[in-house]
Amino acid sequence: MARANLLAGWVLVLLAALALGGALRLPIGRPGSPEPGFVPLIEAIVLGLTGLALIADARKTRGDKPVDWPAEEPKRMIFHLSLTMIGYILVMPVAGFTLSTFLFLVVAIRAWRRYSIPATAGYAALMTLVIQVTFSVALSMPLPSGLYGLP
Amino acid sequence: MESIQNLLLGFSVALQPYNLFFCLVGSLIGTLVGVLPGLGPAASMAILIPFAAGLPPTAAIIMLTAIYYGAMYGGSTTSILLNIPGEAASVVTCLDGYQMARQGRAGPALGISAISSFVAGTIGLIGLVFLSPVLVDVALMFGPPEHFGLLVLGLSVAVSLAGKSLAKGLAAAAFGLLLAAVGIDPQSGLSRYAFGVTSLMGGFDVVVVVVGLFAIAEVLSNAEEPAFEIFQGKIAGLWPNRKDLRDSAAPIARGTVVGFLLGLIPGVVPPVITFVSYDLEKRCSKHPELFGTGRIEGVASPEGANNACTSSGMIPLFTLGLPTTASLAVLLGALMIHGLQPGPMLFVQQKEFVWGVIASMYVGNVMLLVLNLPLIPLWVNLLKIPYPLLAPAILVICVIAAYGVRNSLFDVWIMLAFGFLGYVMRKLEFPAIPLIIALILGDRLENALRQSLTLSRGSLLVLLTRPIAAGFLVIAIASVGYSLYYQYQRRRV
Repeated sequence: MARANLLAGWVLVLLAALALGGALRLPIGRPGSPEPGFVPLIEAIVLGLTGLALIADARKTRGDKPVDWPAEEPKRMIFHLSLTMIGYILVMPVAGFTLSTFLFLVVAIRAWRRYSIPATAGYAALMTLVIQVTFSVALSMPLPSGLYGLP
Repeated sequence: MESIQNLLLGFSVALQPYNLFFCLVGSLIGTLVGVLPGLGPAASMAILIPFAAGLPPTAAIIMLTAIYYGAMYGGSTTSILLNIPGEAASVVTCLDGYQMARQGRAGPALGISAISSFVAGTIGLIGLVFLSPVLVDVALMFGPPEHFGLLVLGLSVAVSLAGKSLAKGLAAAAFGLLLAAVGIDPQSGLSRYAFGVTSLMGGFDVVVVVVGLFAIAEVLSNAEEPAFEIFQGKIAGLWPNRKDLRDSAAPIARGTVVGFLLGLIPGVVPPVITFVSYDLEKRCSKHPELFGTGRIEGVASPEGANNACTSSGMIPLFTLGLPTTASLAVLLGALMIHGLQPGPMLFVQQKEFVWGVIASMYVGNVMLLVLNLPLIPLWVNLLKIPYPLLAPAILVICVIAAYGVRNSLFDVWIMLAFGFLGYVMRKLEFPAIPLIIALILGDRLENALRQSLTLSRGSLLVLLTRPIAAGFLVIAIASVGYSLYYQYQRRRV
């Protein structure tokens, strides 16, 4: 955990530096008349200080517990699921919500458990229909459409 | 006397058929959310905000509030039947509840859980009814320095109590404050941290962030877990016997008091409250060694605490605009979307709305008591849906929720990014609650500070010379200092 905290600390310091840079590009004003950059400047400094505190803490720590990262198989599952989600959102503006959701459900379910393809496709189709009817028809919530108005 | 009159006014609003319907819908959804592992009340409320935005404010908030306390009822079901908490606050119910189920006493465990929740929720509401006007009167005296002090106090207590590391809690809060700064500055109209990206000019929506940090991250975490065994036994005799009721009375009372008092404090989340309540019950028992073997007190007390804190959490939310948990932060976001600013003026300008919501909580409690026990077979059947089928559907619903906020796929990408961030935060033990609370309160904190400085012509002494503001800041510093001291002591051991 100490190494992970050290890395996290440096990430926070970097974020703080970027935030500080962004705040300094805005008008800061004076304490009596604070402008848009005033409070973000303070927030960026606080973030940087917490990052440094984390770094200092990580350097002092000895023999603490490791980060509970997943084992190989679950790690592969999470990676697969993450890629599937990214693919889903990439495909959606092209294929539309309905088709992309169906494909996502098929791939995601198969990644999780190897049901037969007909069973997976059947469930995915049913769930897509239920979701479409529930959200688009019953609740009138907007769903993304694809090219040429594909639903 | 005025409180009673206001409550009667509230009931006249809550008992309107339209509002009753949405109270029922919210209670059922909340119970379902509590029963099903992987989707907590905060994420569920966030997912339904885009839909609720189209409803009248009273019905919308009644529904969202019902989801919150409904989830507390539902979470205990899986804790007792499966040894898996459906909701984080129900973790401790697993200890004795599941043991009772294994001894063939799942029915009384579920029954006492429901009764305890109802009694505690009702008493909590009484506290809410009588304490709220007192706090409102105090809050009406607040100016910008007092508001700033209060918000700093709320945030610092949330940071101090959120996790094991103060630095991580502070980092999460500071990051949340910076996220709140993204977008157009309301006072000057200047764009901040948008980097020329039009979609960022509106800032980060709390719905998108919450769904990512909680729901997506939860699904990713659950992807590591092995499949669990579904309860196969029969559930008979839902009603506890006289001995069970007698044994549960004092624990329910103690749990209610603990839950109510701790629920007032920002950052003291329901899981912590239920553990404190369980621990207290164990200490009060003549046979503490029997806890964990199926003691009914081990179910009655934490379930009472759980529900009492949902009522008391509404007090700082409605009277001061201060959310004490992530779910209440989402509720605050929903209030703001409907153009309602929580705080003392809400009680003055929107009396019917506020008291309608408070009264609806009692109505919802009655609904949950009446409905939950007969619906237990339904919840058990729903639990038989394998998680590999449920989880992808949850992800799709999250996408719909994120898209529904502003009809933008950019928000869906942001949700996904926060999902990955939330997963990593869990692994590195960074608490998410300070981030959410800071995101919600960031704008108000900034406005309060800027107004205070403008009023005082740049002198920070205004925060120290006004007694209430100074008091809040002293308590804030004390809570952070105590947390630091406690951390240091723990390391020495």
